[in-house]
Amino acid sequence: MNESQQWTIDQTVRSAEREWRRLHVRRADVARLSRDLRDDLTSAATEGVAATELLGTDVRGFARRLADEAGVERVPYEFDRLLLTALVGALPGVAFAYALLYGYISGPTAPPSDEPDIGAVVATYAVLALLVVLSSLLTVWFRLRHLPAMPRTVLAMALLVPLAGAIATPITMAFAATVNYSNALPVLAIECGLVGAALAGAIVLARRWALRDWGSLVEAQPAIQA
Amino acid sequence: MTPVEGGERQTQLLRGALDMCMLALLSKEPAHGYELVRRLDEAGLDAGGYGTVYPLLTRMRRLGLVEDEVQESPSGPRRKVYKVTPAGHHRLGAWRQQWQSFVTTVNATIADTSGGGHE
Repeated sequence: MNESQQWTIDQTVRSAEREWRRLHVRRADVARLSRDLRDDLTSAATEGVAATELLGTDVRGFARRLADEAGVERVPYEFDRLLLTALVGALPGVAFAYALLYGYISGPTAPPSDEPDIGAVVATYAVLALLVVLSSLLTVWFRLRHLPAMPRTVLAMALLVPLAGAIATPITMAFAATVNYSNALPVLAIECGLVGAALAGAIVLARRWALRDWGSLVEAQPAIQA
Repeated sequence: MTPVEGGERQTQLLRGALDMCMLALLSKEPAHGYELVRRLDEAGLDAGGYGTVYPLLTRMRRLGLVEDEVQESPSGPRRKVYKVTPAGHHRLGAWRQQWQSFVTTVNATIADTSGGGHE
């Protein structure tokens, strides 16, 4: 087998692997499917048949069919539902924080002064941000608690979301400073995007973290039931 | 019937029998994935190529009808060869009987018809 054939096989297998990962096929199953496919394509290549001749251009479609027929487990990340629920769940917290901040609701906040104490300002915003996070986490828990590994997901979110917020806030403020705290719509959109991307990334990471042992958990279940 | 229509009809007819044909060919002699595609072609069955046969072979393995065996080769790459399991042989026997009964029924139904009925 020559280098060109080997390169084609590598490309084909990589393309299939990307599709399997996109479908959230378990890592162990991706490895097994990939190894089997590589062996078979290599056997064909030694008989002079290229991978592209066998599979054509729709490698992703082939990978999907193969995953379906192999009956592989898919990790139930449910990112879309999780992100949407977290966003919707944050809204009551945002509304409450807004009302508290602008005096629609009386709270234990000091009256505004000409020279506000920076520590008090940071503490106030931190408490309000935590209220928003709490509102989001509670909603996620109550709406999605039937999904697998949700206790671990919520715990991981409780750790990672505030952390992401703490990292994204100074970055966003630094960006705002570079544009002289402009209120122009594109600037505000970028600022919201920075914070939103950090928080969404934290939620995705939390879910992945919670489901990192999903394969072994699923395999252990029959043994536990037995 | 145009050649295209004829091809589509052939594909539809084969769809329900392809796994049986694959099992039958493997029961004659174990093969790796591509080799099985070639044998199907040689048998005159346009099975839709590797993209159809390999996923189906994977399903048959999942169902325990075939099993694979890795054959190491000193001169070439290792090969995964598929062979029919005892359960696969048993299933093939049942499918064969079912198919023969089906073909007999269909033959009896279409026999002695002149093709259109608009005489």
